[in-house]
Amino acid sequence: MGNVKIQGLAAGAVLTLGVLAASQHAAAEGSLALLTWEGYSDDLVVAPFTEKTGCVVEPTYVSSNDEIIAKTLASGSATIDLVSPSNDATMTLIDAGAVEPIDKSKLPHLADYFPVFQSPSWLVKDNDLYGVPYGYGFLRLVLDSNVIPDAPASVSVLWDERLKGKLAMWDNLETLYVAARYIGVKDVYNMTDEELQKTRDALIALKPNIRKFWTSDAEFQQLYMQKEVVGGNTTELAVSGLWAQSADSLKEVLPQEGSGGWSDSWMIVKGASENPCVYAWLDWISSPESQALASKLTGYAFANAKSFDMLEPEALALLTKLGTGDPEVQKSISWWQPVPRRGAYLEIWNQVKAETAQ
Amino acid sequence: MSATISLQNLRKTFGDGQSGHLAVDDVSLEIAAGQFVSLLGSSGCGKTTTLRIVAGLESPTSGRVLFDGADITHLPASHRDMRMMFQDLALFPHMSVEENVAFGLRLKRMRGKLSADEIRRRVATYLDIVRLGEMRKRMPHQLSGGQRQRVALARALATEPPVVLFDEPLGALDASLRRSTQAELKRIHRELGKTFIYVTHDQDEALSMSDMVAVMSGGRLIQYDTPEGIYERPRTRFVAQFIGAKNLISARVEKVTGSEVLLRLADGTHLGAHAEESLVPGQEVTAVFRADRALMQVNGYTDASLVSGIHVQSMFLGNRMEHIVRLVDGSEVTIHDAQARPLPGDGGPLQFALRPQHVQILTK
Amino acid sequence: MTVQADILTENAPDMRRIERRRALFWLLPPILWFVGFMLVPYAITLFYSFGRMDYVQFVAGFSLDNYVKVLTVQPYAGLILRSAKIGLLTAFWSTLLAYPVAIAMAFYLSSECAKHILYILVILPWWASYLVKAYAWKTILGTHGLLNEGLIWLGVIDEPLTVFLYNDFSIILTLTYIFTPFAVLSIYAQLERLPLSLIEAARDLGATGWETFIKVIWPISIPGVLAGGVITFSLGFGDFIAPALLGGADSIMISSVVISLLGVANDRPLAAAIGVAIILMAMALLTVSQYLEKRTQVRL
Ligand SMILES: Nc1ncnc2c1ncn2[C@@H]1O[C@H](COP(=O)(O)OP(=O)(O)O)[C@@H](O)[C@H]1O
Ligand SMILES: [Mg+2]
Repeated sequence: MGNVKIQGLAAGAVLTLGVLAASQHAAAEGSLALLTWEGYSDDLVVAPFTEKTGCVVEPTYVSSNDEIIAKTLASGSATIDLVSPSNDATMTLIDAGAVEPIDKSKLPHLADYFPVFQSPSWLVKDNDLYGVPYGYGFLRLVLDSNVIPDAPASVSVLWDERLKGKLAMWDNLETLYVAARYIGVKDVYNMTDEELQKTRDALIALKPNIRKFWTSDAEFQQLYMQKEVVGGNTTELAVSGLWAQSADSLKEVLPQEGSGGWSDSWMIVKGASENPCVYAWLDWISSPESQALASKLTGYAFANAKSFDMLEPEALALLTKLGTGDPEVQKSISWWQPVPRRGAYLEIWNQVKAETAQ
Repeated sequence: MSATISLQNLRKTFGDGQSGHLAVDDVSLEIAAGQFVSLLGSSGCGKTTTLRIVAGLESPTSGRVLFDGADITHLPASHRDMRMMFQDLALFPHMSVEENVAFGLRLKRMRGKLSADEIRRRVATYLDIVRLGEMRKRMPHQLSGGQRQRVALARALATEPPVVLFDEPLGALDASLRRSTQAELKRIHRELGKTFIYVTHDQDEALSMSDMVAVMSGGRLIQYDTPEGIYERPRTRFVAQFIGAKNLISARVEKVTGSEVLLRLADGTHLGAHAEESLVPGQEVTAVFRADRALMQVNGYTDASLVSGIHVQSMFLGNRMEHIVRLVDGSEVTIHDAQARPLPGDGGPLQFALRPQHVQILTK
Repeated sequence: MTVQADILTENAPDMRRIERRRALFWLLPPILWFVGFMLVPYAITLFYSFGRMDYVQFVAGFSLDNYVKVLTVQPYAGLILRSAKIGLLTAFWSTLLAYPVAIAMAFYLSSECAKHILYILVILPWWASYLVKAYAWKTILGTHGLLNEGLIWLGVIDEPLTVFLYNDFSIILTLTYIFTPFAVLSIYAQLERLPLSLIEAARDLGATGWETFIKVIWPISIPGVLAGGVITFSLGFGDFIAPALLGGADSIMISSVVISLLGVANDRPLAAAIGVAIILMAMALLTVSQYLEKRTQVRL
């Protein structure tokens, strides 16, 4: 495990902080160290939990799944109790033995979860469940129906010549997956070299239509509202935001090839289940009450089906319009998986971006 | 080749309107072709500004500059047939000695007039004149102060302008180098026969080198005269003091005959004097004379007047004796005795004689 | 004599010891700075560049594979060149814009007050964040931005043009806008050293304005131009914000790739190798420009 040490060295400052945190953690009875996204440990969700259980929550924010993986592998349960990675990172932690299986009997709310989150492939190994699904969403394909009134239910519409210079695509491997689905790749998360090359060609053919690669929901909304683009692939939040700004002609295309889906899960760092606050937290965040609060806060949908019933009417209407809570739609989603050859994928992706559009 | 320069009622105000500073105040000056003219005055009196107006680096607020009779007041510096040697020399630091000297010869204005060979020859000639032939490949920072000075001079001369302007070019040199460079400048002036206009605050330098000296003060031209004229006949108290004539005597005009004036001193004795301006009897004036013009041998002159006083003290200065004498009105004057004869003790009465042409009446 | 001997035996201050302590006092901060901010990070980067990733874990080693990849596999070498091109264009336009401003500041603003105002105007944009400025350019260059609206209003065009934004033009324009002050200040710092009398001397010797510029001002200003050029080139070369905000589909630069290697692929070794390659390039560039600056610097 010499490698782990090296990684720890590089993150020297983090390590020092970690040691500090660890000593604090040991001292304060009933505290809980989270390694998570900023939106997931807001007071709105945390305060009722602390009130109920007396557990003090100490969150550390991360900005990428890699950060979660690196920090979890480097410091383990000494400094972290729970992590909340996405579905393209969960299996990495499971395979590395860095997280422990969930004792479902302690979490009654799991029974209320949507079927697709009961035992998702990205959390199950040897019949053990390794995480509690939390927020989730699908990637969306949207186009201005004034420009493309006759959009077919297929990603192929992106390659339509009428969209020349009018698309904003996500600067993310998801866009690579879109092209892979377009050319008929079966398992977009495990592509062969040949499939990758074909995907690359398809993306290069798409480039003339791409005006901008976007990097945030806000950017996509701006690009659309300022009429720089007429559509592209984007997130639910961006779509609902645009609809709220009365972008009525913006219509969702439901591609037969499927769309990517992301799902975050809370996972217990190996050894942390001794901390009584861990299951208390998992119980709280799997409850419909807490998930409704989190949904109000983040705008995302959450895995407990009953949480939908507690949403405000407008929020529910929006998620219904988007089909986010529809179990049938959920089943058709191409849920993200860890990509073993991420380096090769990224290289292709960067090659595509470096290629000059014709 | 040389030219006449004529300055007519030059005025220069820096800044604007009321708050403006009048640096040059109504200066008119005729400079004959081939003359060596010095602008002399203490720091801040407007010498540089006047020179820069002549060079075209500054435009006058009013007045005209004539070059051989032609009005060049508004001609750009680059088009004037004159070169300036700057106070800070302004050598081009990125060019060798040779390139500095050739600078003016290689410009567009000169194109077609000089072949590359001629330029080389010309540079060599002027480097020889300033005795810098050996140094032609050096960069300015590799030269001593005196050598830099000579590069600047060669650069100004190389284009063979009829008029050369100097702004205190020797300011930074030590005394002996200064003196030898003065001699060299004088020699070059004689050999080339150009019109030189030379700014300095050093009266010895101005008097020893120039054909004409223009004394300035507070932006005004006070006196324009030959060195002898300035030396012998300072017209104002300022000029007198500036050139080191300290012996001032208050008197009243008694009689005026042309430029001959008879003064009456406080003790009632008479003193013959010389005046440039017309005076009227009864007028209160100040007369000045130089210490070395006092005659200790008081007898035997028909044209000299006697001045009496009390001997205060004497100093032996090697080649002469300096006596301080208190006159009846209480003022003290200094007189020199070239024969360095000792006087019979302090405190006694003392007489000396002055010729009228050596007693100058000051107008201000 | 005896008195002095006494003084020497009592803890008299020793000049040499004081000097040594003083030298240490002044040398320590730069040494700490150099070690902490340069040597250690560079050493870590170098160390990573020779290793490889095994899944999400780093494996130390000594392999040149990453360097071979940087040089032979697209898009790395190509993007380094592309970034260098963007950097060069940024440096070129910044210098072109900065030069007249520096000249004006150095020679044509006689009043200290006017000079001060221009100086503040030049550095004023630095008080706004980079992002704000980049967004400002978006609103100017956009399809329905100020520029298009203005051109339509003037009747120059009927339909808004999309060529102003989301391409290399908008990147270089923004980088030039943001980094020009660096060029202004370094050229100005050099021109300020140039005595006004040199210009007057040139004019006095008969030089036209152009000749004065070409033969006197320009050669003396070269070190400042080089220094400004190196700064603006480096800033342009390493930028990733402008391509992300204002670049188009093809506007990726090498820094963005490094970021994605770290953030998406978690390929630290390859990212480190690109970093080392760029550091080497920068060192070569600085050596050349320092040599040229020395060559062209004049003693005034
Ligand atoms: N560019 C200028 N702006 C304002 N005042 C100036 C300027 N040049 C000279 N002066 C002022 O004009 C007066 C005369 O200056 P100058 O001609 O340089 O004197 P000199 O050369 O006799 O020492 C001085 O009081 C000086 O301060
Ligand atoms: Mg002066």
